[in-house]
Amino acid sequence: MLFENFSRDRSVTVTEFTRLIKLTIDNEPLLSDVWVLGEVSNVTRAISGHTYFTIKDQGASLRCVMFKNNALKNLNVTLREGISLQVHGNLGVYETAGQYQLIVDQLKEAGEGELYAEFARLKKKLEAEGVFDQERKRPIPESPKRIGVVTSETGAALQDILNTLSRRLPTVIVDLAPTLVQGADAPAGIIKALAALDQIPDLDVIILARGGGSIEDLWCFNNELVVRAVAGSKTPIITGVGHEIDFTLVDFAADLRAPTPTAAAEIATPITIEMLASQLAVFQQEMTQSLSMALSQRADLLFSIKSKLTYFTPSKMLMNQAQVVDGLSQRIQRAILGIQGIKHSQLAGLARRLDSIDPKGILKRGYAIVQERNTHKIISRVEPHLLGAELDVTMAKGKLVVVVQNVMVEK
Amino acid sequence: MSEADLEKLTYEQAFTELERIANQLEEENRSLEESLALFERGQLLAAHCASLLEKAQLRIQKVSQNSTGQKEQ
Repeated sequence: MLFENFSRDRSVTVTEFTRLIKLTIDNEPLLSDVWVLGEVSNVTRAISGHTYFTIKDQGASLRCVMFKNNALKNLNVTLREGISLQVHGNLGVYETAGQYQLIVDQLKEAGEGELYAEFARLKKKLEAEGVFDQERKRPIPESPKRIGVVTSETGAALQDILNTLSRRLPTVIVDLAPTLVQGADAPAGIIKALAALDQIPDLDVIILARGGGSIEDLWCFNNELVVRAVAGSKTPIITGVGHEIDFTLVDFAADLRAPTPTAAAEIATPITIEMLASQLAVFQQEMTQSLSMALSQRADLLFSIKSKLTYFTPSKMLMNQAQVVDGLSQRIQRAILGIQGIKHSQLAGLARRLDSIDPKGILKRGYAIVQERNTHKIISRVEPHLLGAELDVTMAKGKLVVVVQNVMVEK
Repeated sequence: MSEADLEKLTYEQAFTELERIANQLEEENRSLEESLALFERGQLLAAHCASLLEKAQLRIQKVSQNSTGQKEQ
């Protein structure tokens, strides 16, 4: 009935023509049940709940729409820019806009399941071998002098790393071993680059890095030989592959995993040039302090010695000597006085003794001296012939002249 | 050591010596003359270190990788 209107003689309307296209497409079984593989872009989620997006490859692009009810059925797969997806549906024509589009009812991640299974298998195997053991991990040197970098020479990761190193620690030497970091040749390239850097004896650390990408892009970092090369490196390795959310097997084998290339460069330089400069300032300050302390100690010592010197200065010594002399003379005086005192009392004693010896003293106590008047002979004992003799009897304050009338001799 | 020799020291060499001098200066019972000499040397080393930091620029050298990638003597 539709075709009745078609004739070489007259035009058909746009609507009629579009309807013809639609009928032709709708009646083609190949177009009504198809899986298409492509990279997602231009994702738009409309308020209606429908999702519009485009899948494309290098040669073509295809508009897709997933109506609300189908969108709800496919929540397990995240539609995001750049990922590869397999989409299932039938081709439809949107007459108003004159567009054909795939009406999607099912989404499947492209090969990701298989890749993930391989990742998990390899991870388990290497884990069992001890390749990822925590004890194998070495500390990252605090102040590196030479840092090796393994990445693409043209990638943004290299620029990020160099900028970061230059900002944080421009004193380091960077040994760059450029390599492919994507595709079939990448694993061999990475292994070769790591080996070349590992030959440098004074290399402190190696950064193995790549910017963000799809799981396929990062796949070389899950290569078993690459992972083993990282684990076997003599030089400590920091990985910075992809974004924060991306984990590859080299991350587990490395001595340290950084979330991004920039972060890897930061971790590789724990001590920055600012810290070095302030450390330097601290040493300078310490030295100045030590010296001024040594100087002030000596000044103190000098002061105390000086005050000792003042104490022993000649004038002071003279004064001291004068004092000593004073003291001595005082002592001498005291000594002399003492001696005099003793002498005085000795004298007095002697005088007293002399007094007691002086016969006159005895006379005072009632004794008398008896002498023969003529001969002055001391009569000290009674004898018979003294009868009738004249005697001088000397007593205190004078003498008596007596005649002996009687003699009594004691028997 | 002359100043020319000082100029040849790497940052690490100069810094290590500076660290030692700072420690030595902290020890007591060191002659004043010796302390002053140490201090003077330390100041020169610190200045040298500071100027090295100031002048530092990232040196990037590409590592040559031969075809086997096994040896790089």
